[in-house]
Amino acid sequence: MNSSLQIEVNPSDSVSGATIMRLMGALDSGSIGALEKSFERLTAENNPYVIVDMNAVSSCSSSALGQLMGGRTMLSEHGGTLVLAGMGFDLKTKLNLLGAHKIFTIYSDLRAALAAYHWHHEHKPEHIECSFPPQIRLTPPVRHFLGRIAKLKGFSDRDAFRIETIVDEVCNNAVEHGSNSADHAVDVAVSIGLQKIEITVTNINNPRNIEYFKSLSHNIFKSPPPSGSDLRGRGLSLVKMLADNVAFDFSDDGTTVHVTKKKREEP
Amino acid sequence: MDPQIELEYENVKDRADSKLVRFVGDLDATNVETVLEKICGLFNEGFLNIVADFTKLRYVNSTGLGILLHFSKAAKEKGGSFKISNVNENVYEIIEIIGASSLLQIYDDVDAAVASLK
Amino acid sequence: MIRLEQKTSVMTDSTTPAAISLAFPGDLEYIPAVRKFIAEAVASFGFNPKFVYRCEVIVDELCNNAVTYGCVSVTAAVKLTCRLFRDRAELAISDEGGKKENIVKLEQALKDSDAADRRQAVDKKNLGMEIVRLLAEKVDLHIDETRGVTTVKVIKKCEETR
Repeated sequence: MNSSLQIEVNPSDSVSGATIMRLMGALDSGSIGALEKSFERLTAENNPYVIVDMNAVSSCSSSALGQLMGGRTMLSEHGGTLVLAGMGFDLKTKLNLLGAHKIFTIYSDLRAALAAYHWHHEHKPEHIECSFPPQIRLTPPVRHFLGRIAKLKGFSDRDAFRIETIVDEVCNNAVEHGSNSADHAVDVAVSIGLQKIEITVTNINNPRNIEYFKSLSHNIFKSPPPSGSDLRGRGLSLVKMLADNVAFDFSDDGTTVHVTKKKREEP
Repeated sequence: MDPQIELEYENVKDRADSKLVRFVGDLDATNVETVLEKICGLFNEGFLNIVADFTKLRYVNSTGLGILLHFSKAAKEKGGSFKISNVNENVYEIIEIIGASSLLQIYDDVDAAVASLK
Repeated sequence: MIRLEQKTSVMTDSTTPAAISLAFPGDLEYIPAVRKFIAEAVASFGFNPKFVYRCEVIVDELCNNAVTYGCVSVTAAVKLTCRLFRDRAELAISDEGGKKENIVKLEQALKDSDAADRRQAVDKKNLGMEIVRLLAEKVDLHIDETRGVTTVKVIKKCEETR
């Protein structure tokens, strides 16, 4: 049986280890043979991650979907993964009604599928940067934001809460003791990976509080935590207890607090 | 991942072909597919009339609005209806400015939406 | 004990904005957290809830547009700045630009439209930028071809004085 389907298989030029199988035309019973051959070759080559790019697929029959499922099984039996990407709204709706979403991981587009491989399999962290004027009212939005991101990236509710607390304490410290000039933003840089989050908070020093920043690296390692009126010192001791690693980088101009928190529990 | 939206279901008295669905949370590009699957699932189970209660729907964006229009069209094609009730002011504004208020069946409350079922 | 200084206030007049900036990976999954962050930040300055909600919608639609059409490379990031004045928010969202055809579509979507165009937007499910255009006072598109950056700048005024 003739088929209008065209198949192009190429390695990704941006993410090593990922292979893109681009399908063009109608996926029908006539395409099954060609699909099967492609999957056999991909399996024989031990491709670890195959993205089926469906962006140019006009329609997909249930038998062709069955063949895609067969391809997925074939690859997974050899330790590989097959995902779908780039389906239009109508095609995705139809395939989901046939149960495709229960079998396949489906990405909105090719880029999202490649980014997921980059993160999950290659363990490449993702980066977020945020800067805000040194005003205490802005630390709740910042800590809620990073708490949400932590949950999104697979940290448990408890770990996300701890991350929120860490961000809150470190940012409050930067706002309260750092430069209060509106031009001197507090910078938060986050690197989030499968197993850990790294948070770096930098502020410009306030010359009047220079002694405070000098004393930070000493105070933070005090045990037990500072008592009495030194609430901020207590805040940073809390950070030390919640985090896996805390480091300070002090110069006359600015202070950087670097915190690492590992994933403790699965959500 | 935080789905941001929950759907709660309730039967409609004396209407075996209808279902009340409460939308709780935010409807946006990250969860439209889940909602689509659930509502289309109801259509396919034979619930041709869906009454959506938006009392606890805090937020909707263009993607969310797109699937509401899709439900309305899909229900009509099946000889049923997709009715919306208790829309908050913010969500209503988004529906209205785009000119979609005339394309959707919107009621003040659930009772009014149920009473309008044919 | 170290004496804390009294903080000088940002936004004491209309010329000194509070500037918040953010860069995040070009993935849809980040957008709910981003729009809620901006909404909370705007709310923290005492703007009314309606203004806060409209800012949230604008940020959402602009970010969705940037991620869907303007992010090409795997490590693509979306950059967002939000400058808050007493009477308005100025938002700027930048991405990698994406395909030429998508930039042309964006230019068209941001042109003035009438009711007929709006209906067409509804039919084409191309509602996002239409919503931004209708909610905001000013929307400008900046294309930097040499750097491969597309930026949409939006001004949203707050009718009520805080």
